[in-house]
Amino acid sequence: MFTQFFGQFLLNNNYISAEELKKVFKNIKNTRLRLGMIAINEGFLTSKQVVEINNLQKKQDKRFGEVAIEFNYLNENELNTILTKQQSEHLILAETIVNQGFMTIEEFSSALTEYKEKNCISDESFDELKNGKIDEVIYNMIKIDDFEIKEYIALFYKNIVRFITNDVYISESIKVNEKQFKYLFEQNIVNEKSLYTAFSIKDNDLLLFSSKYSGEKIEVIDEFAIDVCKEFINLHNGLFTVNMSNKGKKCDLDIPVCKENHILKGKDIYIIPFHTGVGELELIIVK
Amino acid sequence: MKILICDDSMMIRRQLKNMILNLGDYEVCEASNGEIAIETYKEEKPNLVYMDIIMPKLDGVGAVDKIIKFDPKAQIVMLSSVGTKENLSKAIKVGAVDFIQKPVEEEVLKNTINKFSKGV
Repeated sequence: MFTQFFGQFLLNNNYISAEELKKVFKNIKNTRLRLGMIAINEGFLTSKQVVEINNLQKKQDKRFGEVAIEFNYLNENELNTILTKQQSEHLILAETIVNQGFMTIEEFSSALTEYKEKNCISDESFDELKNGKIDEVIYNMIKIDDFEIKEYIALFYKNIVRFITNDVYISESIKVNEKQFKYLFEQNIVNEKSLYTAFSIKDNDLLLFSSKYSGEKIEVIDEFAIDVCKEFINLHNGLFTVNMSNKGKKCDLDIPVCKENHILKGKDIYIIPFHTGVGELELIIVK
Repeated sequence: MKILICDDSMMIRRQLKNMILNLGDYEVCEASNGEIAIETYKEEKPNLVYMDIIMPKLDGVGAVDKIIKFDPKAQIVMLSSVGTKENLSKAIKVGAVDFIQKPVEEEVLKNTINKFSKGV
């Protein structure tokens, strides 16, 4: 996820524009070095083992290396080797940005140093960025004080990456008391203090999003497309609820619903814009 | 062997049905909530049931409770994104035989079908 995090940092600090970042994400796609692929190349894992680990990761909020060690597929030395190899992800990003003329190599290098300093990442722990410090880096991106909301957004970010697309960055969250949405997919997480959660997505982006999640080509916004989006928030909230339950917080979920042309009113409605490879969506949270 | 899929999500029912049909010559019936699942169970007498938890009208745990009262030998596997200890415990208490965390993989589905198809 280094590419997403650092891309987000470059955007937030006006080193590159949103349009340029989109182009970077598009062009970097084919050159991403995945841990699984490196492990296969190194002869540490078979492709079947990598698929098994990836499938487990879809259900549990665990890192690739963590699962591989648990399954005894990799030992610590092998994991360290592939993590070291994967560090070159930042070189691929650098190459993509510099080749397209968005930054010079000096500007990239200076921005990277600034990024490490701001996120308290030492040179030694740089290789842990994609693994050990993911949550902390996401928390730093989210300028909201409430820790539970930060955790919720971080998991949503990771689930977008897991189930929809690697191309994702978020903009500064806003707080409103009223807003109208074309399509709103909402679900309440019920515990001592309920959490209202929803996401909103428009027309063509909804088609792209639902096609990606369902694995089927969806060309019209029909009952099935709506159902796919409701199931996405249901799955995400299910995983969030499991995380909460593991921390001793009991929660239940209401049935997800879709509202069309709905005006949401309330105190402190947080809206977090997500810009993804399949379009724009807004995550909405009210505590 | 007949399998009943009960889930309020059309996408999940479609995906599960495709996976099951891909795994072998099984007969599949569907229900979109707990109430329909009970009626379908009584009519179709499936050998295995995959049951979601969060559903409108009657949830999965309520439906399992009623199906088990009708047929104590019913084999029902819970299938949910909310794989909490509390839900697992509730489901087992009313008589579910297993629990699968969503998203579902074909391999996991295959294992449960193999496990509960013995004697069918």
